[in-house]
Amino acid sequence: MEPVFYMSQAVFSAIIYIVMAGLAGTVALLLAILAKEWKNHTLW
Amino acid sequence: MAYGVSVLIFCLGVCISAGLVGYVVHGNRKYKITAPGKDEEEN
Amino acid sequence: MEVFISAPLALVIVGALSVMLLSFGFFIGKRIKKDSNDFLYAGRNVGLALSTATLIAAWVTGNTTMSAPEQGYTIGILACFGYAVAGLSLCIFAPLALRIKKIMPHGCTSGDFVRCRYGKAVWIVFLLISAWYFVGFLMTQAMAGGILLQSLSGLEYHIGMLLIMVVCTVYTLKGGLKAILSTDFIMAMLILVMLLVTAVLAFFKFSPAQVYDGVMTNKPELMNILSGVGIMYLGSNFLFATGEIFHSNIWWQRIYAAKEKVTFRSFILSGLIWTTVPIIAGSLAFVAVAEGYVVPQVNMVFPIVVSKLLGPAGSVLVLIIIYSALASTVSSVLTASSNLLVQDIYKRAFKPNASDEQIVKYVRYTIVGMAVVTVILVWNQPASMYQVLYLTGSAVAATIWPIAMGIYNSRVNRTAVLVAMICSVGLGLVAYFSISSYAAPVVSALVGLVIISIGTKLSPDTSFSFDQLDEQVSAISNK
Repeated sequence: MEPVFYMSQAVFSAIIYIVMAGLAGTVALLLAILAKEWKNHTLW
Repeated sequence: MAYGVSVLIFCLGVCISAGLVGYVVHGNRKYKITAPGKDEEEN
Repeated sequence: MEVFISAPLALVIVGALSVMLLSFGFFIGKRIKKDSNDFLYAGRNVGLALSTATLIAAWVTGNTTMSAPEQGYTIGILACFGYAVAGLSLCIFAPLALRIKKIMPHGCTSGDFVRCRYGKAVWIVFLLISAWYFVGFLMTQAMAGGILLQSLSGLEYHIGMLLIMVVCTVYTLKGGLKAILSTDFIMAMLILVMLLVTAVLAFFKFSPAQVYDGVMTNKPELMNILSGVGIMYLGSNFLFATGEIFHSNIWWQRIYAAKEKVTFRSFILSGLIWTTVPIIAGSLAFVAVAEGYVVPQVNMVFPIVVSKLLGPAGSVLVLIIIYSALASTVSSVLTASSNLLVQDIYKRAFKPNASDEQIVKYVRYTIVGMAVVTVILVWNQPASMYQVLYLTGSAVAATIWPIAMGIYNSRVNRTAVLVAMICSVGLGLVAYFSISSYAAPVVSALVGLVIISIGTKLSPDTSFSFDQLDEQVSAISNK
């Protein structure tokens, strides 16, 4: 039998919210970098 | 399959991964390689 | 089988995405210079935004969007984290990428490095591993295209599969890496934003707390963070993903395409962003468990959850996310593999003084050839492609230490590397069949580490110096 230790509800919810916020934040960051490089003509 | 085998694979995997990360980071220190600074203006 | 959107609508969406891809390919194709530098390395001057986006788009594959939820659905929460550590493999490649640019600023492919560093014998084994991986990888993507359209709209498997291969081949041929880089940004944004929208809508409808309670009622073992299969997957997936990245020309080509200033940051940033994708996609699988959805095929859990949760709009979102993931990956694999084959085999072995135009011409032939071979191989839909892809685990993990040590240690014994690679693949396969598919990368990496370390300790190679490396590489490139 394998040991059992369940993740708690609070941790599960926290992970979901943090990861979604992280994704939203980094996408915004990426768009900001794109805008800056577009303006400076340093895209490639 | 025995639970012990899973634990063994997990531990080995984590140790090798950690070793690899340590090896790469140490390698860059040894050769004094650092990421070049930000300079977005240069084309 | 239940159909979520009509076949014509599915074709219109895929058609619109394809037209966007193709017009980009033609648009960029008209603007690129006709040399291999522009076609294969996008001018070697790519900035942070495009470089990061292309890494994300190439690394978010059909497997990330379809298998991460599948793993979450069958193994549980640990599998979501296990899948996510593959993002950290991109991060660990960042320092390596800097060193690669330092020691071989004029390099071209991962094969170049292996050949100049270790000689012909290791290079041949390395190319075989690369080819094995590329073919397996392309097959899963082509198949995923067929299965995706089939399960969402009931369209015949071959139509979806052919569609993705034809469109990707044509636009890769036209625009080269520059077209891929610009479409990759759009693809990466589509994938990330649509995934975020899907997750927000899903968790707005059922809060994470409700989902958790539902899972604990229906299948509590999925929340067990000590599950045997789960910890094994968690322990091995970093090594599998690292092996995939270290050896594969997809990532080496992107090192050379990016400006030196942005290489490090783009790998770290893309790794961190990527990490969120399988966790979010995987967590959606728990909605299916909590709500007791009937999932006829386990690999279709993601499209089914989203379609049931959000209706036809959800199906459209899923179609866009997965089709974008597939298209960007297929085109990246096509350029990377053809580049490797042409530069490494045609130019190095047969025609050292081939001109740039000839190289690009042969790269184009090879792209078409790879696509045709892939279509033929998946024509009779194989049963379980994911396990076949994981079969490459022992092979790709066998390249981890030869690459890492070869880049940092000038004394690595070449014979030991050859022996290590062969033993790693062999013993990894034994572990795959006798222990578990997830044991293969761990065993393979361990064997490689032990053999190369002992061989190098006993008989260090004193003839090699890193100063020669770039000269050797440029000597072949400029002939």
